[in-house]
Parts: sequence; C-alpha cells; structure tokens
Amino acid sequence: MNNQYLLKRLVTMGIVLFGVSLLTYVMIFVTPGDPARTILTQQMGGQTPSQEAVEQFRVSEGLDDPFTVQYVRWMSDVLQGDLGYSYYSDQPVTDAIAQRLPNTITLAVASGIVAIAISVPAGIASAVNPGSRIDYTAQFGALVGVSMPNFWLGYLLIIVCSLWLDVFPVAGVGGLEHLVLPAVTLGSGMAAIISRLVRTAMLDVLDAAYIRTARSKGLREQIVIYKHALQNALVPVVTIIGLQLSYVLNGAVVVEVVFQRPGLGTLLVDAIFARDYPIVQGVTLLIGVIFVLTNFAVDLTYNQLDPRIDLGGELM
Amino acid sequence: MIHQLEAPSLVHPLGTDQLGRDVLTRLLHGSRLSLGIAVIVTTVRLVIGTAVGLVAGYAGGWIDEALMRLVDTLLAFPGIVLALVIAGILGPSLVNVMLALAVVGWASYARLVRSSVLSLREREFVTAARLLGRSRTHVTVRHLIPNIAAPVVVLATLDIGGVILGISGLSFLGLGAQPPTPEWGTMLASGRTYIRQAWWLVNAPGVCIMITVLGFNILGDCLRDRLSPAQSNQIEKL
Repeated sequence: MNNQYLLKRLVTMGIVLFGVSLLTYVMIFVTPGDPARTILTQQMGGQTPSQEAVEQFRVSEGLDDPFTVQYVRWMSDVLQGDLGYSYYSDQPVTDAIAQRLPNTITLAVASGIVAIAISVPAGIASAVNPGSRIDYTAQFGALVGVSMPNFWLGYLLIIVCSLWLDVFPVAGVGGLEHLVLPAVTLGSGMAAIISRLVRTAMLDVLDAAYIRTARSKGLREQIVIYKHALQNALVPVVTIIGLQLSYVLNGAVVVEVVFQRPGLGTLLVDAIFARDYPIVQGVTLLIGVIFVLTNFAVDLTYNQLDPRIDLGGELM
Repeated sequence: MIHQLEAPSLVHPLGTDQLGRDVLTRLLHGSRLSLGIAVIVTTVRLVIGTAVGLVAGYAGGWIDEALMRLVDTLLAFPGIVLALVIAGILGPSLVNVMLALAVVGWASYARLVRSSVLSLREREFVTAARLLGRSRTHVTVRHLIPNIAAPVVVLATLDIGGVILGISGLSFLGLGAQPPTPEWGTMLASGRTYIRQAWWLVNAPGVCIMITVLGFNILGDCLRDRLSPAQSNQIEKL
C-alpha cells in the first residue's frame, strides 16, 4: 500500500471526523430550551427549580462558557469515552448505547446475509442472460424493492407471516424467530440495490477481452462465469456492500420501530421524542463515526482487491 | 360513529378507517401533499447543491477545500438519521421535516456539479470563452450550467423517490405531518394500531407510496439512459 495515499486518506478522514463531531455538537448546542433547567427539574423530581439554583448550576457546570470552551471540554470527555449522562435516567450514555448496540449489529449482519443471498445470484442470472425474461423479472423486482418503504414491508410481513400464518412472532427480540422478519424487511431493500450493481459489474466484466480469451480456450461456461468474471466483478460490489451500511443504519431506525426491537434506532427515536439530548448526541456521533470508519475501510479494501486502481491519484 | 373500520367494498373501495373516513379519499387528497412537498424539497436540494458545486468547482483553492469537507461531513451521516435528529430538535411538524430533508440532501448534487465543472473547465469552449474575456458569471450561466443540467435533472428525478420515502418515513415515526393530515406515512402510522382488525389501513398507503416512488424511479432511469448515458456511472455512485 502506497504510504502517501494512506496518509492523505487519513488526513481527510481526520477532517471529516472533526466535522462530524462539530456538527453533532452544534446541533444540540443550538436546541431551544435550557439544559440547566431541564437537568435540575429532573433532579428535583419534576419541581420547578429556583432562578438562583439554575444560575448556580450553569456556572458550576460551565454552561456559561463560550462555545469553543464547551466544545473542547465535551470533545475531551468523548475521547476519554465519556458521553455524559441521560437527562432522565442518570444512566451513562455509553451504557445505554452498549445495551442496545448488540441488537442493531445482529440485525445489520442478518439483513446483510439476506441481501447477499438474494442479490448476488439474481445479479449474476441477469447479467448472464441480458434481455431475457429472467433479467427483466430481476430488474423489475429490484426496482420494486428500492421503491418499497421498509416500514410498510415490515407491516405487510407481520400481517401475512405473523397474524395470518402465525409462523413468526409479531415483535420483540429473542431467538432466531424474532430476527427473521426484521432481517428480511431490511435485507430485501438492500438486495435490490446490490443486485443492480452486481448485474452492471458482471456485464462490464463479461465484455472484457480476457473473458473472450477464456471462452475461446474452450473453458466451460461455469468456470468462465464463476472464476474469471465473478472474481473481477466483486471489486465494485464489495464497495457497494460497504456503502450499504448507510442504508442499514437508516433502515434500522424504522425497522426497529416497526418490530419494537430495542436497538440504536429505537434508542435514538425515543430520546428524540423525550428530548434526552445527551443520548441523541451520543448515538448520532457514534453512527457518524462508524460510517466514516467503514467508508475508509471500504476504500482500502477496494485498493487491495484491485491493484490496478491508481493509489496516488486524485481523491475525488 | 358509523362506518368504522369497514372492509373494502364497492362503496368504499379501500375500506374505512377507525373514524369511519373513506381511505381512498384520504389517499387521493394526501397525494397532493406528498407530491408537492417532495418536489419542493428536491428543488431546494438541487438549487443549494448546484450553487455550492459551481462555487467549489470554479473557485478552487481553500474555498473548494472547505466546501467539499462540509459535503463529506454531511455525507458521513446516513441521511434519514441526520434528518431525524434535525427534525426532532426543531420539533414535530411537516415544515420542519421538509427543512431537515433539504438541509441534509444537497451534498450529492454539490459533488456531482463540482466534478462536472472540473472536467468542463478544461474543455476548449470554456477556455475560449475565458480568453475572450468573458466574466465568470457569463461563463457559468452560458457554458457551464447548460452542460451540467442534464445529469443534475437525472439525479433530481432519481432523488424525488428517496425524498418521498424520507417524508413518509419521518411522518411514520411521528415527526412529520400530524393526524388528521392525510399524509401517507402518518396514515400508515395510525393504521398500525388496527393491524389485527383492518389490514387495509396500513397496506393502502404503503402501496400508494410504493407506486409513486416506483414511478419516479422508472422515470429517472429512462431519463438517465436518454440524457446522460456518459455520466450514468457517476450518478449511480452517488
């Protein structure tokens, strides 16, 4: 790996991470409402605190300091793993996140598996027989999949599979049976996007000269497709699957609400409605950071998989 | 109250809801809302994004650098999550959802426009116009914008579907339109309470959203193939 390229990417990533933290902090900083009053009211069991108490609290907690001072203090706390405390339960934000994160990761992995299991075969089948009935069906299916709101698909699956057929539980977390419907809901939308890209990538590759060579050598079609073509087509596909994390995190919010799964998404939505800003801030920051790091990892993988990609090239 | 939760029939083709209202009527009425809002939000995204992209691509230097890092930061968040937080901070209302979706969504336009400007800048006709002493405004309006219009329009068409999904999704979560507004996502959210008795209450708005988004996606795909086959890869990547 080219060191100069790596360094350049690291610097850009650092700037973006700084931007993410700043944006997260500013969003909460400018919220209407007085955090001092909110916290004190909570601490006093719902009673309205006196004006002096609020003033005193503001000074002792540094809420009167200039923005930059407060941001730097918050940032240094964050870097030490302290995201503050929930306004309402006194629980550290990191604990609340740690409790919910495993459920979201499970959902993300399961839906990723569903997505790949559907999309890769569908994309290959399309690309191998372009213009065929299979191709059109797969392409139309993908279009429908992209256009389907996942909250509706979730309820549709609940109605059919849980209420009518009584195969899977309606909601909640637990065994594998609780995971199937949410994973299918989230995974099918992803599958739609991935299958289109698998198709495009395969079509590009199947056009290449080395495929013609492989065919004219008399290699069996299966070997040509699975060994020569698929391996090369996988390069862009890996990137796309990595970038699908955005889709997973977007979708997880809604899907977790539909299936009432306690995860990062439901934590965020509940905190937003409760105006529990430390939690909102913590979850938003975490999601932003995860996303930036994944994109970075995807970039590097991309370069590893395809050595032809110019490492010293312009970034954008 | 009469006609509550009636199953689909000839009188009420899509049934009635918990208050005895005709679902089809509400959906049709809601289409004005959903489509109108989606077009407004997409237009705002397009205008901000194009402006930022033009400035970044043309100005270069530290302005470009700063604007692009802002774009990177916005794209560093999954769109709906960021819009959810912004709309939540502003408070639940349809206007706030529109604002949130517009603010988080212009970045991909800026990226597309900037990279188009960068490649156009090196073309002969742009160089010629500059050598003739044309002002930046003249070059931008007469030479750059006409050449970036096609990919931007394609991106916008493909984007409208996403915006519709965003609006209905945030409304579904309770942040957008509030009942009794017949917004599709809001209708779906109120229908889920009656999911056992009245399956049509969540499915009718769901199908509506899907068909509308599907329509825009097909339109966008066709436009892309027609208008800018060369840039189709670039648009796909965004």
